[in-house]
Amino acid sequence: MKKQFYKLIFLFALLLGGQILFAQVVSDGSVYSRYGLGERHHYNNSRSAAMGGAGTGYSDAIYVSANNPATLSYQVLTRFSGGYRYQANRFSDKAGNSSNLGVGSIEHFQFSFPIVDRKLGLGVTFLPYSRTGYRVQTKGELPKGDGYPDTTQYVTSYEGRGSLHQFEVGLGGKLGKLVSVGAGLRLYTGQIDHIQRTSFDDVTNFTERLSTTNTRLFGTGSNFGVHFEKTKLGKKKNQEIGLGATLSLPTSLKTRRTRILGENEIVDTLSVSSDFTTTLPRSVMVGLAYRPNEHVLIVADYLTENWTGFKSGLAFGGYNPAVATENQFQDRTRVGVGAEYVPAGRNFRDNYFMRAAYRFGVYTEGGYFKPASNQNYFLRTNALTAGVSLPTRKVGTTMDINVEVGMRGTTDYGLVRDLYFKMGLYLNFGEKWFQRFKIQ
Amino acid sequence: MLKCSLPDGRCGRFFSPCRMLFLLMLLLFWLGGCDSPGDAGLTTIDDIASAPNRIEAGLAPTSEAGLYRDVTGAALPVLTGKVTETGPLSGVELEAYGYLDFLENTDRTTKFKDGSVTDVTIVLKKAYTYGQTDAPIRLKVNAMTAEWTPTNAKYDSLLVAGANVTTSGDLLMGDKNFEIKLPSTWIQTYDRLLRGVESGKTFDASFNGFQFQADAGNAIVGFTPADSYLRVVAGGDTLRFTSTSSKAHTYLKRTGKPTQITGQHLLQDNTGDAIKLTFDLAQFQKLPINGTLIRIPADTLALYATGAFQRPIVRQLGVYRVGETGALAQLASTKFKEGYFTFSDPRLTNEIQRMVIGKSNAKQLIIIPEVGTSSINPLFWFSQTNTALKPQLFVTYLPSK
Repeated sequence: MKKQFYKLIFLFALLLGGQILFAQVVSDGSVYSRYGLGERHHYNNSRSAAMGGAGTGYSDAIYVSANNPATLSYQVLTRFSGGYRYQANRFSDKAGNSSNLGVGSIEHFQFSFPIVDRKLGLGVTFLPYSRTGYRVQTKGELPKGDGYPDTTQYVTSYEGRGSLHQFEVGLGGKLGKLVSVGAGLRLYTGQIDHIQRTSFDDVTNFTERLSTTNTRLFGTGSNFGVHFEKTKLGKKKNQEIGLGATLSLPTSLKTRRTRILGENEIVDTLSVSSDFTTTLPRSVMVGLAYRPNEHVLIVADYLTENWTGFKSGLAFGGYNPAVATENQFQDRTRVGVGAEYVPAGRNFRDNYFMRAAYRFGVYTEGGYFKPASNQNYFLRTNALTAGVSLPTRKVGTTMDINVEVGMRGTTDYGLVRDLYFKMGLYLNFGEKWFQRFKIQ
Repeated sequence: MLKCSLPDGRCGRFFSPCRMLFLLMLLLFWLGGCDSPGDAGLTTIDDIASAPNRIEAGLAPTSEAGLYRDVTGAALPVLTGKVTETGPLSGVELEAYGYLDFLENTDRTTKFKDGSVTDVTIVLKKAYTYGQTDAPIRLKVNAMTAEWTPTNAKYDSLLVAGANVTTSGDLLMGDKNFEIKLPSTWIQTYDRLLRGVESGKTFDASFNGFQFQADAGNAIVGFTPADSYLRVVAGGDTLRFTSTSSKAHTYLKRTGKPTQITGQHLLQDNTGDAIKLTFDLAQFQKLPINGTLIRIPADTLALYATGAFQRPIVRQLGVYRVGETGALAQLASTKFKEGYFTFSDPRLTNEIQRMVIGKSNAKQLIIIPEVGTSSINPLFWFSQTNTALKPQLFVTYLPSK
């Protein structure tokens, strides 16, 4: 019991450490994260991430779903998982300008455990709901004269940073042998900064200045899930099929915006808005999983989020509350398909690399915002994903490495094409905790 | 907690999966810092601001006499003398009283103690000259009758002196040292104290220094206390009773004004002159200020004296923030160049930014001479309307979106 207590302390320390690391990461990602609440973060677990993000339809004892609380009921091990992801973006426009940016960030943290093995489970998940991280800059020259003997180079940069975080406490239980249901209470909290910074080469005569628009959001929401699973299908009784669905209800977040000029000792709060309400849209996700044999798993997911009905008393990139139309954003949709291949199947004595799982997938996503004003163009992202899961000596613990290559946007309408590469490292740790031994 | 599942020993190889994973993680952290941001994507910024802009802002400097009272206590050199100005400053009269105390020398020899004092001479080391140099000056030496302190004493702090001790002979302006012999009556009074043989009394406690005033001549001279002393001869031995800057002070009085020329102002060190700066920053309300440059046109040629009249000119000015308590903080400093004093400093920009956002607690900003030593160096500056002779403030700022 004492050992388990120390492990619990260790995990909380990891969570806390991760939060600090997350806060320190310099956010340089897609310029499109300037729009709306930022770039929507889609994550279920590291297994799904390598299969086009699809995974609502399967249940697993090793990979707990961050989206579907119903699958918490399948747990037999106390689990901790976390991941770090690096993302490199290359932007290019029609004029041939390009820029490269990279950012590293914590992908997620999850802690879960069974209350009753394979019947009832609890999970705590932290992951970003959306991320804002970009940096674009323009250079120029101030002429000499007016007492200045030389010209001066300056850089005006536009930076965004921040996240809307999502903490969820979920509970999932089985109803009979085939169906599981679950519900999660979500806490949303975060802040998004849009910064304009002007700096000069000549620091003896000129001073760098910052102008920041800070938006804080806070609120609670709910998430519901259902999962159906049928095993031992087919002639060899080695086929499985799973169906899952989740529903996140619209959530109202208290929102306050502050405009700040400067930093350090020269700082002034120019304005603080009243409390407004920002409504996160309803989200529906359905998924299908099919295992034709013990080596292969095929998954497919569909997601839709009702951003058409997004409302806020404050303006966000691409959204102006003063405009009396509800369709400033469009519904976000995402389709992902993927597959997993384990050469060894369930043969745990096979060669190490035969016991590894190899995954790939593809997804396409229609973004919720319109970055080109006066054009009916909504952002689309297409990407390929792949990954490998390396087993460890500890049963139920894996190390996963995922990669993703994608492209979003267009060079038309004055926009940029964002070619990105992601690489993630994930640890899925599982161990039997809180075990009661029966005295014979 | 986490063990490699490879057979024993394989993790020890350089290319083992465990090591590769660790290196991969290091690579990801390292890659997180690789950036080369550019202007691709700038067109997607919907509320892009304009480029930094530089414009001339409202600046109304005014000449304020007596605004800033220099602390001359302990400032070097100590000034004394009287000048009736000529040329462009005709009509101005300046008079300085110098105060110096001398400290007892306790390294007395037996001969010195046992003999009697035969001679006491004040030796003043000259370090500054302003005025007529082809005529001698004479100084009155008055006794200070009470203990005084120069701490925080300003140029207009007049310390009252007692009876006249003596008046010097002609002091030639070409000499490096001025020597003033003290009369025998004074020597008799202080004989035992100088020799340190008066029981229960010391020279330091009984003697309070001298005040030096002009008696004749048309110059103000400065002398450094550390190199000035009383030369005392007793019993055939000579001892120096040195002075110290911690017991030195200058009182300065200016009367009259130069012939007034519209838009031309006199700024003179140690007389309380200052340029008070008044800004019109309304148009920058809440905007980021990246740079400020203040240009004050000045004329040093007009005041440059030739021949026997020597008039050092102010060549460096400083912008100072006057706090609520009157304390000064330097914001910029510059030397005269090509007709202007040009101030540009991040400290000045920050202060003006504070003013723009209403966070400045400065009572005012002033420009005062920065001569480095105590002086009465003058300067003409201009506040005319034509561009060449107009004080200007240029502000570089980021316009609102």
